Amino acid sequence: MAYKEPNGLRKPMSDEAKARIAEAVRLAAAKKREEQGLPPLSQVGSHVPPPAFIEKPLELVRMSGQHFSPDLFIPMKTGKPVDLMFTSEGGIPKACNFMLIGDPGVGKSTVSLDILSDLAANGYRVLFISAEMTRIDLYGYVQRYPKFGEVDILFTGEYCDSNPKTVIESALKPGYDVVLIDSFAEVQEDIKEVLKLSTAGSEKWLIDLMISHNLGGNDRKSHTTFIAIQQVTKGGVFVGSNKLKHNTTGMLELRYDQATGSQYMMFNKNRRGSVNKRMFYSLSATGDVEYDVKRFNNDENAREALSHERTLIESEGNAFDTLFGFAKEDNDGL
Amino acid sequence: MPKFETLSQNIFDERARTAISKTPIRKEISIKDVEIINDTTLKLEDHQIKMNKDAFKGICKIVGLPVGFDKTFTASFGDKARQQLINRLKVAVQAKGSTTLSLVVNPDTKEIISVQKDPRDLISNATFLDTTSKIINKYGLEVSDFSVNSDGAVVVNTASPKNVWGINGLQDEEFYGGISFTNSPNGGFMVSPFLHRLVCANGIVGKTFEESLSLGQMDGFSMEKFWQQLNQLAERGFRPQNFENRIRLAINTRASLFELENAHDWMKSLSDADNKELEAWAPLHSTRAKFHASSIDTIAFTTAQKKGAKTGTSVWDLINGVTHFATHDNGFKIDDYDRRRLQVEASRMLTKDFDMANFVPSPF
Repeated sequence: MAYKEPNGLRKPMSDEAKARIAEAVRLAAAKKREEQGLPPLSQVGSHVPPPAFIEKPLELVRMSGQHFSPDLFIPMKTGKPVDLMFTSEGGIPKACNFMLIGDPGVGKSTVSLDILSDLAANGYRVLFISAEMTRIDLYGYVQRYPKFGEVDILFTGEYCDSNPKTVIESALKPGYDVVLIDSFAEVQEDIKEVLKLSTAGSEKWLIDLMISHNLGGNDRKSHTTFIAIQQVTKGGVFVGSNKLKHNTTGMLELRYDQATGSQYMMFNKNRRGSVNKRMFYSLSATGDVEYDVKRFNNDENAREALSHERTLIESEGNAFDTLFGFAKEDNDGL
Repeated sequence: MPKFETLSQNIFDERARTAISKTPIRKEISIKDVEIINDTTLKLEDHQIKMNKDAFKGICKIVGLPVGFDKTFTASFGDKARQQLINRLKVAVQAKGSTTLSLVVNPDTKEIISVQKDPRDLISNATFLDTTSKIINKYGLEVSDFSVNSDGAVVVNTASPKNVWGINGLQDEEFYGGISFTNSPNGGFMVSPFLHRLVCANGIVGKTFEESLSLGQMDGFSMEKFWQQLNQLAERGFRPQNFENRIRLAINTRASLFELENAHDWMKSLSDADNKELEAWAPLHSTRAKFHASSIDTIAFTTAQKKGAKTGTSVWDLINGVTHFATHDNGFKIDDYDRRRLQVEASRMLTKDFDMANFVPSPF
């Protein structure tokens, strides 16, 4: 049987018919939401359609006109080797957002609480928002690391019946230098579940909150830095939207070294410091996380050698061009 | 007993300067810009550039053409067909995502001496010497040889006077353990056990021992693994595992005629010694004469027959002949770098399966 072109067999659908179908689908969806007791989509704050143009008046920024206090650029020091990881000057920078990811059991909570406690001991205002652990869970930690006992903690699980947005906004309102969130996904999930928001909507709310505190939107006008523990997929890939990635200053990975079984941290992204430098640490001691500065320095030496090699390769490339007459003649000014 | 001689700091510094000045130059280029003319020439943006055999082998490796197949293919279809095949394979490799390769050139001869996938697969002699010096200082090693060849390949042999060890029951078999460092345009940075036999001061470079390490990249991960393996070797006094067993086996196994010829040919090809002069290190002429005296014509032997022909020389004596020839000044002209090649060849002879290892005397 010969194949027949479908053209001409059926009329194309009119625009009017298409619109009627779209309206019927919209009404059916609205009815279903109503039956499920959900508010109409138009009333859900999270249901933000992609902005047609720009959500706020367009402002082109010229940095020469920007003024920030020099104090904003002085990193906060823990006084421990981990300072070398975050910035080239040493210390945790202000008004930044760091994501911390890692293998299960590698010590994400312990290491981040260690950092937070050391900052608190050095006079910085810190807050730990725990959405994963309870008071009893954390009690065991404090027995091993007594300094964790001096950190202000918000256990979000104790406010299940309250509006989590209000709880977190209220907790942050006084203003902190550094806030640790454990974990970003768990807080986001609480918001999503209680307020019936979408994943993107709850993430957007949390990111916007962090950005407003980065900019000093709190009583003390503190340019808060957030360290958020984030989940990863089974393959170790970061979970989060592009918006979250864009608003992340650095991504700190905590991993097991397969050869030795020891643990190390390494930034795979860091706008304020270096990447791919490993800082090995141990959780075997009581009181403090121990860092292996010697291994860190070895990595640093390897990096220097590598950087030197890159320079040599570049100059050898130029020598090659000259040797074989590939060098482009510079006729400027002739 | 011969002494273990070390190089003075002045000589080391002078050779280091030579090594750095002779570092070959690396150039990363786009694969699409290269056209292979034949096994000695390539074309890069209308410039024809000479290349040596190693460079051509490097290109074959990158495009996935086995050298053996290339020989057969060329013998059957000719140079033009080979040129077309390699250039087609080059396009295929490019389509798979490999867009660049690295040419390594001897600036003195303007010849390509190596082709690598990435310029970072090789390190400069300056970085090589810097890393080598750190290892020497860390383990308290003494430098016995330092040679640089015309292509900028460097070998530094070291030994640790603290680490002298013997082989149980064998009076003359005592060794200083150490490390041999190599940086070459085709092999990159390699570290191998270096063994210095006390009784005759012969050196042997254990490139074929399993402890040999190659440092491909200089990132933190690779460097740490490299140092860990070095530490393990140092903890054993730079004594390669299984070394003792190999020596005992070499002493108790006769070399085949093929092994004897091979050792002889290596020494002959790298020096100006003639057949008669080489007899003291590899008694090839006298061995053949004995076969001929028994009416056995060794000239007509196939390779397999040569491998099955037992000689009167043990494998260990043959190895010592090669290392002695390589290590000492016997009045022949031989390049320092080639001396090291002979020391490597000696270790290959020691670690490979001996031809006569499974020889069984017959009552018939």
